[in-house]
Amino acid sequence: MTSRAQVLVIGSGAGGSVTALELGRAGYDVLILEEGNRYEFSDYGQATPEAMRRLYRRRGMTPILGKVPIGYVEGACVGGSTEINSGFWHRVPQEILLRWKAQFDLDVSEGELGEHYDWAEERLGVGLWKTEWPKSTQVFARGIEAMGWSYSEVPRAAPGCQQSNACARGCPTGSKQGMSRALLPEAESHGVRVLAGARVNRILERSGRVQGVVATLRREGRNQLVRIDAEHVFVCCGPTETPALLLRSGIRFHVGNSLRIHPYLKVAARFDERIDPNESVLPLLQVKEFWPELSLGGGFFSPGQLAMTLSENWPANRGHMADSRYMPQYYVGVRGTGRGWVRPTVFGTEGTLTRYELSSDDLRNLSVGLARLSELLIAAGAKEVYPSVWGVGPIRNQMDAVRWLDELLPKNALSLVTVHAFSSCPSGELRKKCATDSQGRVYGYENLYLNDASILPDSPGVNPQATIMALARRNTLHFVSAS
Amino acid sequence: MGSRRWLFVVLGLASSAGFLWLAFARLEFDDVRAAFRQADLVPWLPLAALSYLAGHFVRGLRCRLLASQDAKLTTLTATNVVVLGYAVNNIAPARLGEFARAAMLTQRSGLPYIQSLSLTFLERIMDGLVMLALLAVALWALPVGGWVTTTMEFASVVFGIAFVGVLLAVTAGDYLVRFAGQVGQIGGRRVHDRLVHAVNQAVQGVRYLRAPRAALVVVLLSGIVWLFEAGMFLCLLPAFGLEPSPWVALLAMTVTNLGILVPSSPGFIGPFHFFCKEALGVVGVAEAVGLSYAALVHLTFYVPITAWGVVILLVHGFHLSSAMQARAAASPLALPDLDDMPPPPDLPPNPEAREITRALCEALVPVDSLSAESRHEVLLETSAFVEGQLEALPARLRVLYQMGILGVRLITRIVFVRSLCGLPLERRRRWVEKWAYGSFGLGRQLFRAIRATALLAYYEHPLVRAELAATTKLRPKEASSRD
Repeated sequence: MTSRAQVLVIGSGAGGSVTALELGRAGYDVLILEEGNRYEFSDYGQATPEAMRRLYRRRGMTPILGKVPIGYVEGACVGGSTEINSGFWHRVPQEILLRWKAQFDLDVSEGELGEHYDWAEERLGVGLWKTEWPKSTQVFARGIEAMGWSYSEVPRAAPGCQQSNACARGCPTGSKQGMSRALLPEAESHGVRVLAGARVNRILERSGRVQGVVATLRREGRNQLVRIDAEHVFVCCGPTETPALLLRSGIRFHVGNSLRIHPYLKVAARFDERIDPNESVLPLLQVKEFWPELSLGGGFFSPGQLAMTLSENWPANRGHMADSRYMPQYYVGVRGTGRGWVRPTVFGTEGTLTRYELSSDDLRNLSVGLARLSELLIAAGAKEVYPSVWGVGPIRNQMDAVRWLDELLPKNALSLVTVHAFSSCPSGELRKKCATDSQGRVYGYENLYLNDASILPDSPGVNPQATIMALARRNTLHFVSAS
Repeated sequence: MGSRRWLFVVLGLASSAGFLWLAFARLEFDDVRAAFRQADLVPWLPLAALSYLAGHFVRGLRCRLLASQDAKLTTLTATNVVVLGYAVNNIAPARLGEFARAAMLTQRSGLPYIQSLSLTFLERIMDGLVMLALLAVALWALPVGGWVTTTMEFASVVFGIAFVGVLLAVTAGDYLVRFAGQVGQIGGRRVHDRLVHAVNQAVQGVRYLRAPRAALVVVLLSGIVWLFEAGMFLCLLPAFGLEPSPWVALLAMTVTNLGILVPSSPGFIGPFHFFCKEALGVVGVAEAVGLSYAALVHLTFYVPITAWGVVILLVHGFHLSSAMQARAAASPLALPDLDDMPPPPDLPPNPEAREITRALCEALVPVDSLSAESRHEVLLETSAFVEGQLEALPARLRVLYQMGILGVRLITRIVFVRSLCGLPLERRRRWVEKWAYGSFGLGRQLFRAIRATALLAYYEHPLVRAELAATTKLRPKEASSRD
């Protein structure tokens, strides 16, 4: 009977999978504990409600509280959020790394991360779109060029994408390289074991040394509370669950107090030409002109998601659902500068509370971003732009759009979402600010490591998956060489 | 039997002897005998026995409901379990019946022993609280005070503390387990594992009460249980020529049952008679009559249940030693065999939607041209999805949502003199839209989750998507080119 592992990796997303693979390759006895279930490709691509039930944490009902509540979702299945994201791929710019060095004394350079980015990009087949851009991308490009702004096509970890428009529901063709496809099979070939349906309740530690975990195994019949011992524990549960687990375990040093996010404001745009956004991949370009504080890009599309965007002003907008083939969706994303926190709940079943307060800069950037995006879309030929802000009617011309360069959007009327959260346990050598050292080892513990989005010291301003994977590999190889 | 248990038995017997002496002191046996001789047993005795046995069926129903999260029992089996506990208490010392009952529940249902035991104690606490409430009613109706009031105050403290414990286990069970782990770790691995296991099982035992409606049903059933038991006391009052006052029956029943919490011999001989007689004494019943009444109630209480219990013991071949074995077998925290672990089951399906959720969803989704049958199907699935999403909300938001919707329902009642669900669809739609999309910010916040998820599920439904594709407007240019 085996009820112990040499290394426990908690979570199987971008950080956990890389960690487990490299440890497995180095000959460690590794066990991954994943709260969600494991699915086959045949299970993917189901209708959105079914996909949310199976693949999303708490069925997607994990809002970030605050004066402006923000919709937030993350994956809870083998592969984590990489199973339900767009596969967009960004290396973190050097400017951000330098800021992390300055503010947190994070001991990492662009050159050092480069080899790990290369490794991940090769494994995931990261690349640009190889055929003609889909229509939603073409009109976006037309708008950007009309405005004369800089932009780039974002590479994706989805070689051979067949435009099934199912990224957020689990790619049914296997083109998008979620961790369940890209890394975990190889990790398992190196002896890594994956235990799905295992939620870790608490890390057992004594005098600065972790002994194992107490976990709930969800099995037919009833849940079973078990103990699993380990010599080393890597916590890779994501930006909200990692700090919640540490806090539940009594590990509090700079844990959960500095959550950062990228708040997004979604808009739908109605064109005269048919876009058929439902039949193609999401728009592939991002405007870089205003980066890093502000980025403009394209969002997932489905009739249900369009209805949600239009729903802030539904009585006026509902008639436009009949125009859904003419209405792609885009977003304004800002590099959040507000502050948030993560706490485990006391009442109810074990859960996590997150809170984030928009800063005045966030609100300013969202307002300016709406103006910029609306200008772009109208220049691209959009007849009307519908922001998901209550009481803000359709933007029909440049004059309507530029209004938001000078005015602030009404805070209590905003409907914001995010899929990017990080920095809840920042890493760096500056102990007065950081929960872990530069290699992810938790301060005060000799055998406890974090290796996921929670250790990014601050908002990267770009999709974080690439950086999470690169940092996780670097930290794991450091662990292997050090031990 | 260990020396401590012997001590318990000896103390119990001594206590019984003491109370018997107190009951019979100052009494002439002839008076008691005369009172008995004059008692009118038919039809009062059979009615009393029937009332008491009916109460046990309700106890069985309650036991079945409380265990229903983890075990499927018939009401008869659950009643047998309950009766066995009472019967063993009647023939064995030191309240062994509670343990025997938990052991039989474990044997019949497969529940872990400590979980069964916590169910038993939960029932006891519910009983205690209901009895206190009934005693309060009796004291309100009868002008008595003195030692009865003191008894009530003492019992209130005991059951109040127990109630707080149950409340914590119901509302913050996971937190209690975590807290037990932190405390247990001070005592080392063995103490930690046993404590966490025990607290977890106890928390699992009260899981059924997490749903407010289920908790209410259990409280109501507990009330019915004790009203049936009061029925036994009531039926036997006229047998002795006493006025059949429900208040006197309530007073005698509650005081007697609180009194037999005092350790005593098997069958509670002594305390039962003493407290029952004293309770009647405070409302002016002569001591000899009171004692005769107490003796007859005790026989009604003792004989049928003990006989039924003996039959169960014979039929099911249950040995009293099993209780002690099951107790000894209560294991510490499990160490799972990680190499032989079945996959987790699929996540729970969408729950059945409540009437209010269905009514709100119907009002929130748009009018369409689907057939009545298709629309019914779409609404059913949409409401079920929405119900599941609402249940997945963090506890804090879920409670706020429920309170908010309760408020809306009350206001609807006041404004329309009809329930929200009973409003005609068109009026309900206009009313709900006022809340969901109107200028009242809190109303919009309250409806945000339900309107967004309802629209999402509605527009993602295959029937709606097909209809949307068929009716999407074509621009004149496209329409003519298609022709």
